[in-house]
Amino acid sequence: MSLAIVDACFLINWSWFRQRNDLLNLFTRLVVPTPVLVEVRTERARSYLAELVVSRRLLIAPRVQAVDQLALKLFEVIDAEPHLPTIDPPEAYALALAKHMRVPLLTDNAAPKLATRYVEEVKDVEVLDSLDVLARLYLSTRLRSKVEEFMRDTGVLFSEGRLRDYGVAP
Amino acid sequence: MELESVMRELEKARELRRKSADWAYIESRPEPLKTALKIFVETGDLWYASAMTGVPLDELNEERKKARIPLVVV
Repeated sequence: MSLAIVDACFLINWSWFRQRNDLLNLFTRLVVPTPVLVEVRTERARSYLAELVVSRRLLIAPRVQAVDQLALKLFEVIDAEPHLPTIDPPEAYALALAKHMRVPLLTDNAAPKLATRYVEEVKDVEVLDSLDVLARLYLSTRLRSKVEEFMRDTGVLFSEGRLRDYGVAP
Repeated sequence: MELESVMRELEKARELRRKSADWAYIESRPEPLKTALKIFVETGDLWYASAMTGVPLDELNEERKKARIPLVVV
């Protein structure tokens, strides 16, 4: 069984994607930490969560003191570094939980991914954003059209550099 | 992903948000939504924009789409 932790922005973005269920071809179950869950309130995102619950593809992770301690440490270390983008508390918790459970974190924010490059405590955590996930889901011949669909559906734009990395720059 | 190139991409993303935004729409929104959208344009950080203004995160995300502000993944 392959699990992945998801943060709020990622969930919200994928709730708008017409092929959102393809995400379940990569991960058996998605894990939403409680501090992230409370941020998802709109009908669309909630109904996406409800679909996942009904199909038994969503787990809700309780708040755990050991994870909270690591999250606080990450929050302090990352946000004390002026050259790194800031990480918000629920995202720090999600990153800490990914470390604790040894599973990937799915997020569209830059801070957790950068933190895995520069912060010793989380160097072994795999962080994937939506473009990484799309590239794993679709072969290169279909990737460009799926990336375009994703950007149209969600209002997300991938930077040119990232698109070049995956060979799908316009 | 080198830090300097990421910081350059983040700055480009800020410029893109500023240029793409429908400022007439943003100015037409009531407070605290208007401020939340402006914070998002400048920071690209939905969570902080939401936390600072009390606008729920996903409601703010829907508003930023209506305001044509891209969420840029670098």
